[in-house]
Amino acid sequence: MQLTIKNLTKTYPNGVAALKNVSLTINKGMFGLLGPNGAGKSTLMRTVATLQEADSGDIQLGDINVLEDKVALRRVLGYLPQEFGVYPRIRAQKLLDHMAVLKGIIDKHERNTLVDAMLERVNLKDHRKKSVSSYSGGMRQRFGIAQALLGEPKLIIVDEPTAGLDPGERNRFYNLLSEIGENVIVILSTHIVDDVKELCSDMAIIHEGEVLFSGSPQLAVDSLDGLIYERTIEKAEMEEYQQKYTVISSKLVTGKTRIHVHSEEPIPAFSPVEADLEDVFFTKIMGVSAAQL
Amino acid sequence: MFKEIFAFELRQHFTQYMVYIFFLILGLLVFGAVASDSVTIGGDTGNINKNAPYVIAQYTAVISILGIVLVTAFINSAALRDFHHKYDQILFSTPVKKGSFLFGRFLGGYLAAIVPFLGVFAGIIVGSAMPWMEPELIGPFMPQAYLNSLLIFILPNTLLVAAVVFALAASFRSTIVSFIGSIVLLVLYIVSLIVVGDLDNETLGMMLDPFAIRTYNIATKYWTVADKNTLTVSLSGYVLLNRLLWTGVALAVLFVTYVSFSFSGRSRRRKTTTVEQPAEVKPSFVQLEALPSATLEYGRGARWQQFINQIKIDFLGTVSSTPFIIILLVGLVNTLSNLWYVTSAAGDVVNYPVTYNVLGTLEGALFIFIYAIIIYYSGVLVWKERDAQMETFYDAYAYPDWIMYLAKIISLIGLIAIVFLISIACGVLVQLMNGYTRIQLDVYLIDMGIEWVSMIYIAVFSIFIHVLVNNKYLGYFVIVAFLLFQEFVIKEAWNVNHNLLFFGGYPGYTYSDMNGFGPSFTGALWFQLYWMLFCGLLSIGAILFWIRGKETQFVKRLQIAQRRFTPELRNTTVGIASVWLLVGGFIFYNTNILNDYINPETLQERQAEYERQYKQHEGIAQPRLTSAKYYIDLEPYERNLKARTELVIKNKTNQPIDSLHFTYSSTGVALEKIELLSAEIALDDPVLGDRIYRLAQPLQPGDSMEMTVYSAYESRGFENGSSITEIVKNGTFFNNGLILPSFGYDKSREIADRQDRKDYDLPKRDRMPLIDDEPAWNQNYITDDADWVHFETVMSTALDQIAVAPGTLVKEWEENGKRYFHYRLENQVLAFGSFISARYEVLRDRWNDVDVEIYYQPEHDYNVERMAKAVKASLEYYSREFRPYPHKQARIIEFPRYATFAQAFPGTMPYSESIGFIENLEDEDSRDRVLHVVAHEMAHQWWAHQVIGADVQGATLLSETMAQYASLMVMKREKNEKSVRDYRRYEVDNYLRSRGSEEIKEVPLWLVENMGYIHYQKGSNVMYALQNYIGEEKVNQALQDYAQQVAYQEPPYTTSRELMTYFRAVTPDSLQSFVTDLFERITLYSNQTKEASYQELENGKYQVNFTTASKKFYADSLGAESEVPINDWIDIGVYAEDEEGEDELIYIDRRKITKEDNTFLVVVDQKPSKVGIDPNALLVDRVPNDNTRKVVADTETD
Repeated sequence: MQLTIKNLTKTYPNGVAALKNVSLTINKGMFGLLGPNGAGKSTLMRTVATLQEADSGDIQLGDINVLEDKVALRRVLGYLPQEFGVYPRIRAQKLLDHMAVLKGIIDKHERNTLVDAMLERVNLKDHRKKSVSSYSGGMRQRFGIAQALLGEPKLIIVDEPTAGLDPGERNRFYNLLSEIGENVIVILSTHIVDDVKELCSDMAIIHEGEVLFSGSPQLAVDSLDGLIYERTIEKAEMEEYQQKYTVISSKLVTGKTRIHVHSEEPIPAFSPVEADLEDVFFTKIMGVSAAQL
Repeated sequence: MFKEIFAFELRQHFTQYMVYIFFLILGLLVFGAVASDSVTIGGDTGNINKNAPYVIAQYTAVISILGIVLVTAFINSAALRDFHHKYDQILFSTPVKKGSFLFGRFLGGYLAAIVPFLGVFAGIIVGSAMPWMEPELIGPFMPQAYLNSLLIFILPNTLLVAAVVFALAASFRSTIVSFIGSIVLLVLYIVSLIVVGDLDNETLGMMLDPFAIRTYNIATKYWTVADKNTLTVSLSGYVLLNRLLWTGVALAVLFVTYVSFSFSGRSRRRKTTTVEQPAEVKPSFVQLEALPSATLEYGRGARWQQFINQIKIDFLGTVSSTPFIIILLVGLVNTLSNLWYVTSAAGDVVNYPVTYNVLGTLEGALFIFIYAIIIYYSGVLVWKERDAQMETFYDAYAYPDWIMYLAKIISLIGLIAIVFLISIACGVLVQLMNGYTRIQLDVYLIDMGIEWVSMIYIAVFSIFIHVLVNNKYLGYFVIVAFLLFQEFVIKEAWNVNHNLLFFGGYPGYTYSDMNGFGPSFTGALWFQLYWMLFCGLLSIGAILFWIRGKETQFVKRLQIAQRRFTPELRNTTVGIASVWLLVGGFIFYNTNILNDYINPETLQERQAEYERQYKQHEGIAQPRLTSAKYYIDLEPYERNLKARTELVIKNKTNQPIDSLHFTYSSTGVALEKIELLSAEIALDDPVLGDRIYRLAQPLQPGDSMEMTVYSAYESRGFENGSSITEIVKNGTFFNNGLILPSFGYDKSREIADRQDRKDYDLPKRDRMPLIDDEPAWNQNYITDDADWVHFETVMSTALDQIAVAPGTLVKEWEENGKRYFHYRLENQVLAFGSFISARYEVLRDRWNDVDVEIYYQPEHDYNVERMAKAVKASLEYYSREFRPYPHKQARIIEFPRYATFAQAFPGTMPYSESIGFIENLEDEDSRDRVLHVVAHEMAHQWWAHQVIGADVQGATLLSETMAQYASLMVMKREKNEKSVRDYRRYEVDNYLRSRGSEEIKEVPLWLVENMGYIHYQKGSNVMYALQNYIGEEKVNQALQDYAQQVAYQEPPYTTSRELMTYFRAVTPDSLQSFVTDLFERITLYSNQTKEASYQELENGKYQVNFTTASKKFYADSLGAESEVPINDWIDIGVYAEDEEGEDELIYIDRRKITKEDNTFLVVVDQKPSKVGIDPNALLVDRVPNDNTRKVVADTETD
């Protein structure tokens, strides 16, 4: 099964072009959709998840025409939205059970078994009698993934799942995602480079509604081999460097500013560094936008 | 810091449109009330100036109540602004003092909330300046009146609401709780209304009303039109006390809020704590095992399961939610207090809690709460998933679109059902607690069922609007705006009255113990079907536009809707729509084709047109009836009627009559034909109902001729309303006016309302001809076209019913499956007869040679014995004191409660089932209205049916006032002085109150122009005082002589001027001026006991010392009073407590009072408790309560 997105375009009523002619092909396994906030990731995810209409274009999952036959897609979809809440004052177990019914798991016995197993799987069994609205961020995300996994979905979309999680929680979440990503399509939309780096065999970078790159992370990193240089500077010098070089990123390290520069040839006083996915990300974004990062 | 926060708050409000919009809305509302007659606020202002101080206060007061929600909105947003924008942590971490913060916020919101109310003033000022206003209804601009209204109502009421809402908002931080708080205030208000219903609790009621409206009403209740135009209530007395009390309450609430408010953390009540991850690091996901597999189902059974599951979530979630429980509780408190009112003596008369009364109370009390629940929860349910931010899960699940909609609507409908079921339980409980066991569960269920169904429409509509508008608050606004628009603009202003066009409209019906749900019930059911189908269509619309996903752009939603509109759904829609149209067509066929549908406005238009075209015939010489023989065939169960009336008419004028003019009804019972010998129709106007016959041979003076009138009513299908409730299955009751045309121009058809007359450009008219209008003496005030006639009836009805008409039952037989009754009156009577038929039980009794008969509904046997007794007591007294009783029978006949009166026909008194028959008289001390009403109607057998006045001013003095007097005399004998006094107290209170809302002008009693508050309420007291001053036997002597002179007289008829001569003949000279004051002037007294003390004397007696103040006023027709010197005989009295602790009058003496301040010294045998001037309240006193005063022991002397 393969998800193909062709020439997908979406402009909001306020004039924001969220998707500009986006085409992607996504295969089984973990697919990382990387982009800064506001890049159009969520719009793309929601469109695939049948929650939004596209202006034009085409989405095909196997033989399902997603934009036309939403019902068919929903039957194979597991979706963990970027932001979500729950009914207040309903116990996790009961809520998950209700969600299972809505997804079409009607047989009571099967459902009970599944819900229990699912809660155990995401390690919420001890908290199943508690209201989800009282959960911490990580527990809430785990509950979210539990509901997404109900009904053996063929396509799983997780939108910014690690935002706001502490490193421990994030690691645990990665584990779960990598496990489920083996047999189905999992689209992981994120603005965190590490998420993609650690999990995805395939990825795309999206910015301002356009796909800037699509391929394997390794391929992306390779493409920048020998082109990234690094130097630590004073903060005040930043402007000067920006005028002289293609500064793709800067970060504070022990009070000083460390910048990465993209260059075809070595620069004096800069030391070459091994490119990583973050450099790819920033380089791609720099390429289309002169905006200061 | 306070200044900054205050300024910030003000800026927030005044840069937003809300303040201005509400100012405009309130301004427009009041403008409408001032400048047009189609809008009223808190009752019609009648003859009072449009910008009178009283009107300003009334509008301000009522609007300050309506504005509760508005104040809530402002204050709530002031209090919660930070929390909603999650700005609180930032703000509260800055060094702001609590007081500055709270009061800055509060004052800002409070000031902003006041501004819209100023729209009321703007509306009045602008409205009364409009060029089309009648100049005589515009008074001078009185700044003081506006200022006082601001001080009495706007500032304190807003403060109180604001304080409560602020307190709630600060501690609960929830919009819902704030709004519920304001509803509780509203209920408190309703409860205080109920408490004040009892006169004794007036003081309490004045203090308890948090909005001072009742306080104001009581303070002004005896104000005349002139008072209302010129006086303003100032902040003093109880008004001031009330305002101080409630402002104090408001400040106390604010103080408590201040003390208990804390910046840190949310309120203590908040119990949602976050579950923390255990410290030890456990793997968050257990090792991968295959998850158990589960089958996914999408069939019918699966849909059903999903639907049921979602209903459980929605319904249980809603039923157990705090707002629902609170609204329900508040509603129940309100309902129970209203039910208590129905069944207790707090008001006036106590009735048994028959099911229809309980139902009426339940519906009235619950109405607003059910609306609140529906409207509020429609939004909550539609937005439930989105408010919880979980729609992104849900919307991508594979369940069909309609599941959510149906679950929501069914939950909402179930919610209302719960309310109705609980209210039925309350009703039954209250019935049982009162020891009343005839509980009609079927009536409860059917009636509440219909109410429930009509609430379903509101529910479907509300959800539909929420779906379509897709903005929660705008949705609420649109719903409320539409409902108000439909009620006040479509119905009231545009006069759209057809229920097919009025969303949720259906013919109202009245349940009667006699006649069940009545004639309009079938129609009501058809209309329910019609609107249910329409709601089906709305539901499909809601499903098509139900938001699923993030797409909110209307164009996109339209595309989605198109996609959802599958051929299957299209077929369903077409199916429902066609049935809906068919049902609509069937209804239209019934209401507009089988029956005439006439808009009320059209009817009024016809009245005006009738006057314009035919007024020219007024006073034209016409013959009068001398004999009427009715042949009436009633088919009660088919609601059909056929009547043939053989009349003899006589030319009593002194000129030949060549044409006969008839006025007949163009609706209802149809005039089929008039048979006249050799006459031809010269004019017939079937729309306005005027017909003229030209006689081949003029009818010469003194000659008579015969004519026969055929009329018929055939009920066909059902109507848009119920135009004929006189002809029903069980309890038909009509009079001859329904089946006969009248001779000549019918003045009673003219539009009476002054404003309506103006709207139709009709000239002003007198309410009644003047007393000296001699031509008018030729008519009596009951029958226009007859004097005294022979009256005979043959009436048939169903086999199981009894038909009753005036007269002796000559013959009764069965024929062709019908039961026939032949009644004949032996002597001549007014041409005013009633025709009645129902399944009756009959109580038969005798007084001398008169048959006393009570015809009643078997279940309503509570008071029939009393009725018979009252009839006999009346016969006894009246025939002894006035004249012999002219008939062989005296009947009281119950009829359904489509009308709520009792009426006297010759020997026959129809009496509505809703008064008297169900009155609870188990307590001997209760006001016995049965006795009063029966004695009153019996008295009409003399005072109306023997002595009848000319149709001029004072006519009803001769009938209604005399009946009141006679009834009081019977009551005095049958009960006691106390019940008479209690009765008079209500009467005088009612009189004083009613004269303040007189729309045209008040007149002295002897010139009364058919005005209830004068001929009943004032009349009772005047006649009672007269008999007390000159003696009952003297009054009766005068009445007897007068009746002897004028009973059964031919025209010209007697007038009150003539009666006065009889009264004066028996009055001593010393009281002649008193009689003038009673009858010929509008006289008011102000008697007051100021100080009172007593001393025990050595001989064991008590010396009572008291001072009084007495004033006397004459009022002109607008109520402007001028003080006149007092020179009257007035009683002084001393009370002592009897063994039961009741005050008993032990001393009474009549003194001549010639100056304002008087001191009295009286020695009595017993220890005095109270003393007073005019202790029996014989004189009409502006302030009746201060006549007597408790007397205190004088310890200073000796």
